[in-house]
Order: sequence, then C-alpha cells, then structure tokens
Amino acid sequence: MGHSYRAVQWNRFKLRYDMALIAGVVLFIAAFMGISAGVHPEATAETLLIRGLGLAAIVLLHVILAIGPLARLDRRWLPLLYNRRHLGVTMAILAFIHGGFSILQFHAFGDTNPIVSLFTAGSGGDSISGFPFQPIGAAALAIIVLMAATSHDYWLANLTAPVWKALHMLVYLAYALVVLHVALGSLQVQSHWAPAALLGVGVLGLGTLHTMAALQGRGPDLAVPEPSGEWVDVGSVSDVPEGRALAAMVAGERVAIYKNEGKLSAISGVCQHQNGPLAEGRIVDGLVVCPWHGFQYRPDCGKSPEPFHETVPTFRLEVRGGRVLVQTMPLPLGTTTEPVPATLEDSAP
Amino acid sequence: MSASDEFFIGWSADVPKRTGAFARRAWMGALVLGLSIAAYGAISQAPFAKSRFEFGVERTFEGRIEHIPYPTLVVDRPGASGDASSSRWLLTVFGKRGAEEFTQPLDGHRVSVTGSLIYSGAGTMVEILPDSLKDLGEAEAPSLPRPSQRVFGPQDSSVVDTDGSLRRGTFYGEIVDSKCFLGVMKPGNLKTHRACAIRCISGGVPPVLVVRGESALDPVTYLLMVDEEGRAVNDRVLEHVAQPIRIQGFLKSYGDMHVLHAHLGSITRIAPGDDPDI
Ligand code: HEM
Ligand code: FES
Repeated sequence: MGHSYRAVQWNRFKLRYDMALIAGVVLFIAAFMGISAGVHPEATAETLLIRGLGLAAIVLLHVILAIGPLARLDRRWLPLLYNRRHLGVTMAILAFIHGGFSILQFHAFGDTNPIVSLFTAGSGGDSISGFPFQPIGAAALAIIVLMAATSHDYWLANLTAPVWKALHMLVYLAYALVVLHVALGSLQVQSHWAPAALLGVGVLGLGTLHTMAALQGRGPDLAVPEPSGEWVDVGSVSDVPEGRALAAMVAGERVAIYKNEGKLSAISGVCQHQNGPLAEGRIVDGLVVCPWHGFQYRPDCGKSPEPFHETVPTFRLEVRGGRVLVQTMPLPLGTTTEPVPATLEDSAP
Repeated sequence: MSASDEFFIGWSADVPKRTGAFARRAWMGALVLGLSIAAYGAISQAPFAKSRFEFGVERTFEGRIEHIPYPTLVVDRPGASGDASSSRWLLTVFGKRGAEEFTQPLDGHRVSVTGSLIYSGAGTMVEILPDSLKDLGEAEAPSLPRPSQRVFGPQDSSVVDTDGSLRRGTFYGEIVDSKCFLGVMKPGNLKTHRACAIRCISGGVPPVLVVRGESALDPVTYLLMVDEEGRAVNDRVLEHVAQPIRIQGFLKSYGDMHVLHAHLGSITRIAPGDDPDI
C-alpha cells in the first residue's frame, strides 16, 4: 500500500502464488519443447525455444486479460486479480527473452546493427500478408516492458492515477499488436488450421468476457436513484448488511454506505489505489478494506490508517423514516462525519 | 458460507478456505488448458527439414578454392570418377557473412581449412574459421570438369536443346540465403525467416533459388544465383527474398553445383500457391 518506503510485502499467499506461476510457466515451456523434440526430431532447439517462449507469453497475456472481467463477474477470482502484476511482469520477461532471442537469431552477426535490421529488413512486402511482423512484435514488447517497469505502486503514485491508468490501458493496444504479430508472422507459414483457430478462440473469448463484465457493471451499482433536492434516498436501512456496504450512485458518483457496529457512514465508492469498487469491500478491524488490493480506509473520515496517507471523500448521511439519505456534495477531503445509528428512528439533523 | 461470501485480503497471510480452494482449482484448470495448448502447438508445427549444422564440431578439409563467383572448396572424392570424383562446397564464415574477403587471395590455390559442416540432401557448405586457412600452393588444372551443359531441373524442359546447347528457361522458386537453407536455421525459408535471409544475403552469404518440389519435405533443389554475366547478385535481389517468384535465366552446372544465370529484370512476384504449370 505504501508507495514510498515499502518495496514488496511478502506473505505465504504471495509466495505460493508466485511458485504456482513459475511452476506453470516452466511446465508449459518444458512440455512444448519436449513434445516438439519428440514429434519433430529434426527441429532445432533455437527455433523451439523462440516459439515456446512466444507461445507462453501470449497464453499468459490471455490469462492476464481474462482475470479482470472474471473477477467482476465472480468475486472468487479476486485472489488471482490481486497479484496480477506478477503475471504481467512474468509475461514481460518471457516476451523479452523471446524478442531478444529472435533479434539475436535473425538479426545479429550481420552487416547491420541488429536493432536497425529489426525495423528495416523484410520490408518491401507488397501485400498485407507480406507486411513485416517483427517490428509489430517489437512495438508490443516496448509497451509490455514499459507497463511491467511501471507496475509497482511507486509509479502509480508518482505518475498520478489517471496517467498510470491510461498507460496501463495500452495493454489492449499491446494485445492487438501481438495478435497482428502472430497473424502476419507464424500464421503465414502455417498450413495447419489449429494455430489460427486457437488465436481466434482467444480473441473471441476475451471479447465475450469483457462484454459480459461491462454489461454486469451496469447493474444495480449504476442505477441512479431519484434525487430529492440536495439529499438522495439510496435505500432502506435494512439494505445495509453489518460489516459491509450498500453500493449507490449519487449524482453520478459511486458511493459506499458502510455499516460498522450498527452505525452507517458514507464514503466514496472509488478506491484511491486503482479505482477499485470500495462498496464491494468489507469492514475488517473497524476499517473499510478494498476488495482489489486491500487498501484500508476509516469509515468516518475516509483516511487510511497511519502510516498510509490515501484519503477518499466522505458524504453527509441521515436516516429518515427508515430510509438512508446521502447528500450529493462530497465533504472536503478528510472531513470526519459522525456515524449514524442504523435504526428506524430518524437521526439528528 | 460460500466462497463468494468469504472476503479475501491480499496482504493478509490467511486466505479464506474456500477462496483458496477455488484459486487452486483455477490454477489446475489453467495449467491443464495451458499444457494442452503447448502440446497442440508443438504437434501442429510444420515439418522441419532434414538438414544439419554441426555446430561446435570442427573438421579439417583440403581442397582447391574456386570462386564462381562465390567462394567454394573443391574437394576430391577418391574412388569416385567422372562428375562424382569431386564435390564443390560453398564456404561462409561465422554469422551472417560471406567468406570472400578471406578466400579471394587464395583463388585457385589448394588449401587446408578447419570449419563446421552444414549439409542437407541438397548440398554442403562449410562455415570456416578464417584463421585456419593454410595455403598449400597453387594447384594445377581445376579438378572439375568445366561448366557442363548438362541441365537439370523439373522446371522447364526447354532449358536445354537436344544438342545440349543452353537456352533460356523460366524458373519458379524462392530466393534465400544458402547458409540457413542448407541447415543452420529451421525453417530457413518462408516469411518468418525473411528478415534473416535478407541480413545474410546482404552480408555476403551466397543467394540461392530454392526450386519448389511437390511437397514441403521433398528433397529440394537449389540453384546458386548469379547474373547473366556471372557476377554476384547479393545486393540486387534483397527486395525479392523469401517470396514466391518467377525468374528467367539459364543454367550451368559445375559438377554437382548448379548455377542459375538469372535475368534479374525478369523477376516477378507470384501469389503463394499459384502453381506454375509445369
Ligand atoms: C522485439 C520483439 C519481437 C520479435 C523480434 C519477435 C520475433 C518473432 C519471430 C521471428 C517469430 C517467428 C518464429 C518462428 O516461427 O520461427 C515470432 C513468433 C511469435 N511471437 Fe514474437 N517477436 C517479438 C515480440 C513478441 C511479443 C511481445 C509476443 C507476445 C507477448 C510475441 C509472441 C509470439 C508468438 C505467440 C509467436 C508464434 C510462436 C509459434 O510460432 O509457435 N512476440 N516472434
Ligand atoms: S486496493 Fe487497489 S484498487 Fe483498491
């Protein structure tokens, strides 16, 4: 959570997550190379390594892009989302070795600088299918490495969230470039239908997941209640479960109405970290905990506990006739509100 | 309580039981799916050429250096006679480079040289260690028959007249570098290898026209490419490398080496799969 002094916090779960990830990647590449060597004894190790690494990278890229929408559709995927950064960095390393090894194999030890050769050799194709695929891979690699290098929260804080977010949306551009890289490269020399079919299934699958998640996102969370003057009725007192929140939309803003020890507080529904859905979090030890990466906020003032210094806005809240009303204007950042008892009695104005 | 009711906090060491079980199942599922993709990807690869590069294996050879105009080593094959009494091997050096700067001063000389063999059914090449070139003195008459008018090739039977005189013919194939094609890289042709072939040819590795056989695995034939005057063409064919082309020219055979004297202006790109009617 802290971004200035704590590098990486380790725990048993993270360790097991990373071990499982590394084991998976090693098994994947070993299986590809082993089976290739068995089925194609004439194959050369360099070619198999380049292909195995590229294949591992693109499969991992699909996993990375699938976890986001999966976690939106079903919270049980959240643990995988939590350490997605590790998947991203691993994928970047695989892609980097794949690209680096390709540059060595296909461009080095010649009469031209290998990097210059990467962008100049092989142009002159006069059809779409003749378009050089390696510079496209290089563009994808540049984006992927940039994202991996800035994936730590240190950069999130220093680049500011909007810039960071925009940077990381580039993963979709990188994905499109990788698909092109394969379609214009390997698929052009492949007569077997399976690789093209697999790629098609991957693209369609990711598209479907993202569409489904986007549709679900427009559920109750986004249903705008009727505004009544300055105050908005967001639901009944009994709608708010203890230790959890009711998600509401107040004048176009996401708000989380939390109940902690029988008292209600309204804070922003948007996590300061990466815009995670705060209303889907829980109260743990008296603090609101974001479901995405576990940032914590005090329900009454929106501040993270010491030594952290993130703060989310709070909102004024009243109970009238068993209904919860929230004022549309967020309070100045850091304002402490008095939690309101969640009873059927009206709260003091 | 179901897994959806559990609350997972990443920084906390305790993973709720069902959530942990779900994560394990997800991992197993992803692994099975991933390994199937790896296996499928491995099996569906196109066949690899039966060629070989004896990387790291060094042998010493003796023969006569001849340039046609690319450097070759003519080695005797004792016991055989006629055309088969000697073989002509192409020479290169480490990397994507030609050997000419090292062999040119020894043109017509007998030498001993150490290097690694690159060979396939189509021919042989040696990646020489330039420092190992030892001049054994000028050798007399070429140990090979002069360019013969024996013509080969399934491409166009009109290349040669019945009286043996050479005629123009049309050839279909793909220009690649001889080194990768003969065995250093697999695949050593087609689009994924185009950039590399351009780099090699640009660096001085002799360009060859790979004449297409019936199937990808047929023992393919290759024709060393020169222009009509017999000069090297490396820098003039770069834009056509690793693409299916049609080209006109005439063949000369130097023992077991077939040289295409190409009319470079006649190179035409043809659509892949657009099979010539031979
Ligand atoms: C500088 C960057 C890159 C270069 C020079 C490069 C080069 C290549 C080359 C030469 C091939 C063809 C190999 C062959 O079939 O013999 C290839 C295939 C491939 N590349 Fe890349 N690549 C780069 C970046 C990437 C990135 C970033 C990804 C994905 C994250 C990627 C994924 C793949 C995949 C999936 C294949 C197909 C593998 C197969 O045929 O089984 N590449 N690449
Ligand atoms: S903790 Fe990362 S978005 Fe909330």
